[in-house]
Amino acid sequence: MLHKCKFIKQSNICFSLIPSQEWVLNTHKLINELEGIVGKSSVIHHPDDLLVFAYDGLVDTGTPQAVVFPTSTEQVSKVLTLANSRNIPVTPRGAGTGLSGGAIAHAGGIELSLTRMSSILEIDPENRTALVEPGVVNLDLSTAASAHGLYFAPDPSSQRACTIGGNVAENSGGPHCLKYGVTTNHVLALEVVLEDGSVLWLGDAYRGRPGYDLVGALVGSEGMLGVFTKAIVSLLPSPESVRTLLAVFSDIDLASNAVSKVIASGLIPTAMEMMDALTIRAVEKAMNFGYPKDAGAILLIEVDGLEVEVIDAMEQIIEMCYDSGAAAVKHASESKDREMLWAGRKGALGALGALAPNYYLVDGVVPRSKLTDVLQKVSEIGEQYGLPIANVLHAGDGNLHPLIVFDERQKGKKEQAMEAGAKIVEICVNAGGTLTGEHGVGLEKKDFMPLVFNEEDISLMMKLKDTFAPTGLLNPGKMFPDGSSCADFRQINITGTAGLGSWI
Amino acid sequence: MSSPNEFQNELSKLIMSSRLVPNADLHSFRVDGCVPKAVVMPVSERELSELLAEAYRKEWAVVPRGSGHSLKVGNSPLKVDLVVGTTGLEQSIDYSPSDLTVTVGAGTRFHELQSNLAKGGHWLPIDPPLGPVRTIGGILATNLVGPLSFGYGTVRDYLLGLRVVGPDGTVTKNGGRVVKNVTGFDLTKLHIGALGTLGIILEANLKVMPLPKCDKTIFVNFDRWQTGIQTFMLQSLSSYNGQAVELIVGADGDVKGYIRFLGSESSVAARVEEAFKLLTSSVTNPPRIITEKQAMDVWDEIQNFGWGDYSENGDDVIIRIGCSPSKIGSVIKDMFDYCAQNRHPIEIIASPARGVFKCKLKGITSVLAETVTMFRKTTARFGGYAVVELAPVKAKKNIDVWGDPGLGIQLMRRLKEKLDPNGIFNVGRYVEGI
Repeated sequence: MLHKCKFIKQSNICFSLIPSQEWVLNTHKLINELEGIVGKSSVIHHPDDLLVFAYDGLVDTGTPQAVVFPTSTEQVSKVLTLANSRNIPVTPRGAGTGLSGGAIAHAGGIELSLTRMSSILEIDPENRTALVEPGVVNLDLSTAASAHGLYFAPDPSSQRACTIGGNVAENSGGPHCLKYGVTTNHVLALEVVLEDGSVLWLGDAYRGRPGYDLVGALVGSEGMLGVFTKAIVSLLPSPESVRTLLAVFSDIDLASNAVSKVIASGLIPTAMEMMDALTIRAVEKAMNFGYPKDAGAILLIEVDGLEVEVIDAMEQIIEMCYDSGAAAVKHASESKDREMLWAGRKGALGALGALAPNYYLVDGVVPRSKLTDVLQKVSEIGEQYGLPIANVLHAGDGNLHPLIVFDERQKGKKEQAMEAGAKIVEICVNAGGTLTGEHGVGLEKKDFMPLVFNEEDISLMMKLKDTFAPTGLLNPGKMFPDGSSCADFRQINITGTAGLGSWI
Repeated sequence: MSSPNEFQNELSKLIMSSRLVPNADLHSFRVDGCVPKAVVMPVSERELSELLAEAYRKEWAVVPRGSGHSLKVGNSPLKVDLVVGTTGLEQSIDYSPSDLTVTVGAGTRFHELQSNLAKGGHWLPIDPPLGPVRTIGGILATNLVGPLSFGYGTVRDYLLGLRVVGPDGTVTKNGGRVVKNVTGFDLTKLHIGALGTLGIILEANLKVMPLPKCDKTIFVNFDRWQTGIQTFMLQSLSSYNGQAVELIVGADGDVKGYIRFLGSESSVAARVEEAFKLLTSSVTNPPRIITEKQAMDVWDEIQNFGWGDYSENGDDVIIRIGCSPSKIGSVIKDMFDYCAQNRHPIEIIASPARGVFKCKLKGITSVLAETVTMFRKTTARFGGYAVVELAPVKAKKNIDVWGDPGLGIQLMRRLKEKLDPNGIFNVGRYVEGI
């Protein structure tokens, strides 16, 4: 059922895609001022140079008037103070790998790239924490922490590129959050610059200090409440042993059954990932792993812990897979062999890219027990629109990523793909799930918000926004429906398709 | 403000008299000595919502109440007109074992939830003081944690979604019932530990965990504070750690250490063996495994430390201190020495790996303010905090039980103003008088 809502006012300022008068008249002066804050080499403003910063992982674009690369909290604060005094929108940006348009300067203005603030300032092995700047690449933190036998648990598939600041802003997940949770479970404290340039530390290196959990509200706030300039995150001890299993099934139902069996047994694997037939064929074509041609589903399960418990768990899981009708099971404990088992899953998106020139990657989440039903409905939608839909999913979490393949050169196909995507999101919501499990709302799904939340729910979120960022200059136009389109869901212009170089 | 009688007259126009607690019983619903003008136990969300809408218009001071056990927490209220209970609301437990999630009414007692989950082989692995008899709403609103939080995290890590009624009676939801969700701002966390100052929790969606098949506890007796304790703490940080690691420091200075291992048979056996190896080589008294009964008693004692035997007429003060795990040894020693010098009997329960410990102090009511100031000075040197978890009402008047909430205080005030603009919920009980 679609929920109609009235116009929800995002802030006192309405932004259009046209730069403000103020900006046009004073561009030269403002560039000079920005250069005065961060240095000449840290401001990009030539239209050609700006092009690349118009994108993130969503195909929708928005060109900023300038990209600024601060190297310190003080510089971030000065840039925000300046922007605030001139009513210029600011879009914070990490590596730009996000898939929902969170880092796109939709309203123009300044794009604030945090990638030059990329130092790991401290790793405290005794207390298992790290103090990092926002531009630190996710995997780099785990690599650095590994010297102390520790690692940073959230591992979005883009972890070789994406930044901790971006992870915090989007509350990123990853294949291994089944056991260890998502980013919010691992962030202890944040240094944040508010839109007026004020700088403050929120949270503590250890939980329990009295007061509202403002850090909890900031994680996943999609760059709309403040700019993170430092973070204290918790690290976990690297497990003694890790084992990975790959099981081949003739169809999705059997594989889902195996997942249910594992959950019912009381084991919590670190990851349970599934690929469907279309994905398997694409991966096989691109990478030639020797997957059976008639495979209907592949399940990847990983367990970690002490050697004894991992061996024990893996034995049980292998049995459960065979009991559920697995045609073949492979498992590995050595890191190199395990990587081989993961390679197909990790390369899935790239392989699927070869099927057609374009795809629209949908992120939906449902109660895990509804996965089979929902996947059936997804496949019906594919048939209805005559569009191939491949499925790669975090089966343990109920997080599905249907990927709709199309060729936008064929008239009407893009629109059809978008419409199919919208239907899939609706199916997820109707199954008791929600719009997005890990990619965020951003531009992509802001018009879907009324499917899940009513006016009062959204207005309460607005109050949080007004608490932190009353002017609405920070990452404007994201997360909340503009109103114009929210009255009629079916007319919305869904913005995006996942672009090249994106990850799921 | 009107007299209790006039007040109740006004209420009787709003709500059926059967929802009102009789006048004779109001005394037993007092909040830190403040007797409310009325206590209402609504039976439906609608009743509760309409009642709050009126309270909001009239700016009545409202104290939300679950089981009532945590009304002792926080500063004494500046004003109490109305106590609103959640236990009269229709409670339901909608548990889906195959999804590892449960939706539960806020007034549900925790033991009821746990016994329901146990039927499906699951549990919510938290153990707050007096946990079993408290309500889910109260557990979330106070965020008091127990020893298991070392291994399993706190209720924050299990909360997926909330339905909350705001001060004007508006019911809203946030989050959802799926284990991964980034749809919109996460407002659920703001209510955890907020003592009901932003809204009354109606229902929570929670993630659950498989019940462990095996549960063993290692006990080590230390003769006073000695170097072996450092090894004990290090052990708790190794990858062979237990799910709970606690030290009990008695008034005589003797120290007992306990490590609890939960999990599969093979996992517990391996970790216990490794812990034995480590401890045997570094501790004078040999470690040993205690019986199931002994373990149950000791974990109960630790979980309920200060709460189990708390009497309003007594003079116990319970102070909770947090600091980094690596500094906790020094902080405990400083506190212990200070109390020895000043002849204040002190007992301590410490969770070294979590960086938290609780002190039970006796006979310090008259010098509570200076003792707390000293504790805060000491902990601040290590970046920590000290919260007075329980204290006699009289003594509370001279102190702020919470202490410094950090740099976020202005944002916290602003948030409270946005979410409860008439300031009706728990007036003055929260941090900095929020």
